[in-house]
Amino acid sequence: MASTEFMNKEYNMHLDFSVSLGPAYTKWMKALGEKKILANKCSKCGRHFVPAKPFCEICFEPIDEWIETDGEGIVESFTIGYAKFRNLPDPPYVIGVIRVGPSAVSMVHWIAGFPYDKPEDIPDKIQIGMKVKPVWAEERKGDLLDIRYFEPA
Amino acid sequence: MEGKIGIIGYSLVGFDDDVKLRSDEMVFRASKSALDAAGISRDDLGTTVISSIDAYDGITISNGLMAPAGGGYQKDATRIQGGGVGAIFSAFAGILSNSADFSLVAGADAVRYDDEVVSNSSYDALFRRPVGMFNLPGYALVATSLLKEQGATEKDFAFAAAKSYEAAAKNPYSHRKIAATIEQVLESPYVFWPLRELEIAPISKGAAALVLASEEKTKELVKDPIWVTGIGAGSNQYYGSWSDLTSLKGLRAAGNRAYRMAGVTDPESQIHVAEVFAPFAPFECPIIEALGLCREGESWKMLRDGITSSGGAKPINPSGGTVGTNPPSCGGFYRTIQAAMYLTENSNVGRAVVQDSDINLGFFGETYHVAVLERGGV
Ligand SMILES: [Zn+2]
Repeated sequence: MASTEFMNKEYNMHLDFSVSLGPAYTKWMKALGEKKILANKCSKCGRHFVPAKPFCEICFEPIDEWIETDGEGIVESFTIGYAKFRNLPDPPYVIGVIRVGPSAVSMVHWIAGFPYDKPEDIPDKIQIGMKVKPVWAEERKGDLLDIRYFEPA
Repeated sequence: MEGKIGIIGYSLVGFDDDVKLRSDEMVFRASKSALDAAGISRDDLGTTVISSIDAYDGITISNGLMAPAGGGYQKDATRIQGGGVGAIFSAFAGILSNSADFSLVAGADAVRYDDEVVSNSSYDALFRRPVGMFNLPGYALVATSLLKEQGATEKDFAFAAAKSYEAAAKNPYSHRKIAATIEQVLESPYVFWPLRELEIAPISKGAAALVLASEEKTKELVKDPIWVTGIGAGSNQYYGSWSDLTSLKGLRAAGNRAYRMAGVTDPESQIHVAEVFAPFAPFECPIIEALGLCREGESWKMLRDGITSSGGAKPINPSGGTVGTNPPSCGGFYRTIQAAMYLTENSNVGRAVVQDSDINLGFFGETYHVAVLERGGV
């Protein structure tokens, strides 16, 4: 049976969602609007978290201690996008795993604001362990993208 | 926990870039021929477990469509989204709890979808999705750590892919039979540095089904069966530390549970072959370290020395691996069937491990599954 005998059906979905962030995520996101990166701390194991967590999954306790960090972070890993994907920036761009301040965990954000001549030079421009700091958006609304990107500190 | 179940029949349909049947018909065809191979009928089944992932199927609760196709009408029908070995885990529990003598597990990959958009939607909306995370940069972030901190080279990455392609070209079920050499892999462009196009798994279409049975029924029906003697699961942190994520702690927990159940005390000497889920080829190295198939830090040397090639002393992915064939919903079944075939065809090999996870959608917050397979009258 030739495959051309079968029909093909195309379809798509557009779905809208909304979620309340609760106290911990709301506090952390609101602080971004004021150019502050907060950490919260599990009072049982003493670990700090950026981004904040509502609970410690190891101690299995809620978290309610907070500190303000200086926003500086360490690059733990990075990758360079060299191909164009739908809804994503034009290449090249860098996505980094960044550990901010005393955090025991990492966040993911863009790394930019460093000079390079050719796209293929980028892998040598970033090192694991490199210090980075946030570059803030002009207009902020309590969102991860209030940080435009991290740049070398 | 002690006990084992037998693999008494299986079927593979595919694999290719595209298929001409809808998911339910694919599951039906695979299930029907797996039942025929086992010599039992739908009436004998106690449970069916479908492995499916709604986002890939373009339908929520896709098991409603596929459970009847897997023989599940009026049966105890379950659906698992965490991969095929997770579905076998559920079937294993059903048989050992005496709720079934026979269980059928099945899945299909048939729908075309926009991989990066679907994968991006599997990342959380607050912290990961806004910066464009999806499966490929997730894999690449792990690959950078392998390169910069675990002693691997880009040539190792390419060799891991090339040795898989060489094996895949010899496997009639493989999706990609391109036999790409190490030079061809190194010539393919970076997608997300340090990963190149030919080091990343394709999306494969096809279907798979297995019939599993209690120890008693297996002994009645099969002379020289392949057994699942141990199975385990383990999850990682979601917003975790990078070192926790890259040391694959969830996988280590899953492996330890499976080994304990199977009575494996020294996996390095007691496991002879493995089929693992490496959606970017070099990922097989940290996986085999986490599974204790070699000493910590030695996986790259084993790769370079050809020990883990398909003709080597400890073949890893002799089927051709994930860069050869990667059906997201039924991949765990594919790997289990390939490992069972390997044990059947190589009478000198006694024990295999199969590893699976849900990281097709992306890295972070993974759940891992591990199964131990053994031959004969153990
Ligand atoms: Zn704690």
